[in-house]
Amino acid sequence: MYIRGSFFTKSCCLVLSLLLITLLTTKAFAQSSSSKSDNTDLQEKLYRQALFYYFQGDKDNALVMMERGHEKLGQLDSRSSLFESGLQLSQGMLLQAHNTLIKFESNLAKETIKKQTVTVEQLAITNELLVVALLTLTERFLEQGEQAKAQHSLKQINQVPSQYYAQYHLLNQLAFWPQSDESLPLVLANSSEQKARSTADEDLLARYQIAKEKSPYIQLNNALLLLEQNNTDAAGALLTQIKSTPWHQPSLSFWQTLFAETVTNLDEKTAESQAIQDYAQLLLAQSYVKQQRFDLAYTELKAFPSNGPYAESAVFLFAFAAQNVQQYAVANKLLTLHFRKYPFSPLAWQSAELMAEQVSQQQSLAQGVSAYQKVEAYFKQRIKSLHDFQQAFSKANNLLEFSAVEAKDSHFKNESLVQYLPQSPWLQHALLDSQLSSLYQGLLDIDEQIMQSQALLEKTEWLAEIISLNQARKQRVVKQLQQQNYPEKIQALQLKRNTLAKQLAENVEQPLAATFADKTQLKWLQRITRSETAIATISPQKNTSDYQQRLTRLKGVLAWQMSEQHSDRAWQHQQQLKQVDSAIAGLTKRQNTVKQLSLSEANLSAKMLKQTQSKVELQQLIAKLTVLRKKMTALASSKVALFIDEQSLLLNEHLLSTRRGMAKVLEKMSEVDRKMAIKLSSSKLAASFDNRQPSPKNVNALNLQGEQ
Amino acid sequence: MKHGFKFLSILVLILSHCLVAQSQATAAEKEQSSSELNDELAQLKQQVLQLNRELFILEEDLLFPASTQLALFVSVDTGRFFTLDSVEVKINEREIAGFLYTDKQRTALEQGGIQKLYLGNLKLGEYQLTAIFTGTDDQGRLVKRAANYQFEKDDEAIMIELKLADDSKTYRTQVVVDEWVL
Repeated sequence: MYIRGSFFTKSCCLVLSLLLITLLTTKAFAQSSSSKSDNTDLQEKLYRQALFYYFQGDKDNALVMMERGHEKLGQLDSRSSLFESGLQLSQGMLLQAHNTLIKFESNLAKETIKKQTVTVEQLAITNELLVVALLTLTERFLEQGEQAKAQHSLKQINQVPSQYYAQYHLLNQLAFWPQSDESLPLVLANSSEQKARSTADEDLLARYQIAKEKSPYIQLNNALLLLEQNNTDAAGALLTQIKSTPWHQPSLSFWQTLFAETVTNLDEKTAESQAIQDYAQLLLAQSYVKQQRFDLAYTELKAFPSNGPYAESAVFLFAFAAQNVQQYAVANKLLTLHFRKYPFSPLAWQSAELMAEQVSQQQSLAQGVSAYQKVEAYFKQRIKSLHDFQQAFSKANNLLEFSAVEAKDSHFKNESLVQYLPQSPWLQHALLDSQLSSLYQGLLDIDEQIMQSQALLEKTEWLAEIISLNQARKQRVVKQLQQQNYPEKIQALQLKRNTLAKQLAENVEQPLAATFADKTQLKWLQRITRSETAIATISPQKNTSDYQQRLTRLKGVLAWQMSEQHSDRAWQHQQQLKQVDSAIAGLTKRQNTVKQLSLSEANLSAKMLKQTQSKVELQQLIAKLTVLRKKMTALASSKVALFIDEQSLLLNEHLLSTRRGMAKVLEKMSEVDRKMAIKLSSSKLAASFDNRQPSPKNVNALNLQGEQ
Repeated sequence: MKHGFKFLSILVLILSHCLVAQSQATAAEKEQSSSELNDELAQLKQQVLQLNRELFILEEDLLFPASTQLALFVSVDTGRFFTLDSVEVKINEREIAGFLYTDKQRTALEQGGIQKLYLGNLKLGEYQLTAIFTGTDDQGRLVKRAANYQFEKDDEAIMIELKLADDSKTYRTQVVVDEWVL
């Protein structure tokens, strides 16, 4: 985002190499751990699944993935913890991010004990990652105006690698402003610095120091301090240097981009650099004004960019300087431009008054009165506008719907929930307050959470239906099992198998020719038996010796054939028996599995219980979120009301002041009139007395007094 | 640009805090209140996340029990020789998953992400998985890379990662199938 990039004073290469080393060392850790056991490193797989979402910009789902990792894997490793912390930070879950960082530290310590081969360099890298996380956390606390938490977060940093020292230093200034924290940690020598020291390369160390001091934000802070200490010369020199030095944001590492909402757009980076220079220029002009060197301030602001974020302040200061160097025409135009262009700015309201005052002093009194009248009308119109805003705002039930700008060309389903942009300029000004802005962001977050919770609630209903269907299906299966009585059937099969096995064993032990005969052979055997019977019947009447001989030969051939095939067929039967054994074993196993599944009613009941609990929890959660929304709405409304009161007070003061100014001018006018009248009366006393008529100016003054 | 000026806003905020010393007590009270609400919101967000996690697990248990679960993942190792466009996965010649990648998704894979491509159910038994990746090579020509893998589904969940790995020796990308050991 803005600060983060500004403080990384080392070159892009260094940061990228750091990332590379980190990933390589982590990979090496993973490989060494996976080599110890054959199991896949599921921590790494989960981390990379979350990365898939993260690199697509889907941080919500990346965080959900990490959460699922907790459920599936229990505790996450240090790298995943750090990643989770970064995701939590990006989702505004600062406390959770803080707790996860604590877990990260403990995980890191455990892993260090486990992996005794961790080098000093590896430890330095992990320390750097922790510092990146804590610095970003501090920054987020500062954005929310939570100084104490920011201070606490900073104090957890024991050592700061040199490239983050500038960021640390600045955040330290902001967190402890105007005091400074005395307990600044020592700069940790990172691998490169160690190398520099070992080779006694003083130049390299000096470069680190210069880089640290080159941070434009630190320089701006230093200039502010110098101005407060009235050391204007030194402040001027510093500001001149900042405003003339172009500044480039260095590239960020993966972890820095994870924790920070980085400015990646080139235009934004250029604009940020320009803004720093503009601010330095404005401060410099302000310091000249403070020293009453108005000519220098006038020259400085002459070339101030008109479209920058500080243009409003610059115009006012420029007009003030112009007045003081007697460039009244310029000053008048600038003041008029200022209060017309920025009608909601308190600074512009001052400009309006100044303009009227200047016209009264530099032009005629009549023109002065006219200018004051315009300014008076301007303030009345402002007060009315503020009143209208107050009325409309007090009627708003949902703050996020009040005066909201509708998102055009929305590519995302819930884009309206991402940001709230009010149309009302008053509310836009009120939202410059960080706390109010944070409350509005909170309201957006709550709406998103309620939406997610409702989606989850719908899911619980759906899950309940699935569980019911499963239960019904299971009951059907159990009923079918009871009807079929599969164990009995399997037992019967087993008995049959045993009988066959016994028979086979007997046949193998006492081989008979016809035991393993096939169908053809059996038919032949039957025919031979029939033929023997027939021969025996006809043998008394006829000579059957020839038949008997032929039958005997046939029987011999068949017996020989069957004995040849006996062993093969016995083996085949044994194999078939084994197959039957295997089939029965599979059947028994399957039957047991089905039995166990059918008996595991408790499993589905537990799931149903879980579903019911989740449903209740979600309902409670939605109720809590609704209550929280009401609280936040009330707080935001009170803050807006306070803002309205303040603005109203300010505008009324300006109106009063304008009327006083106008009264003074009118007094002067009447005095001039009186003097003129006396003058005229002395020369043409009688004539002027008779012909005296009320002047248009006096008529105007009378009207105004009447109105007041 | 708005981000760029936050630092200055913070500075102005802090300075204004210092200047308006009289209203510090009131401001501190409100700050505390606002801070408490923020903390409360963060806690509720965490609870929503936890419930989301629990319901996801429950859903997965119900729809894809471990005894029948099959999960397929896709990852890319550097992607120098192959720019991924789409993937098609078949099991026993039956198409079960397909995916067309956007630039963002491809980049996410090339940066180390792993995509869960498919989650489904399979009965016990032996299967043949076929994965066909379509994309372009470093010369911009349309190429296909495929892999076959035989696996047996038992009572445990099975997770298979399809890795597109660059082979610097052959300047080609290969599909490596890695079955996770749980």
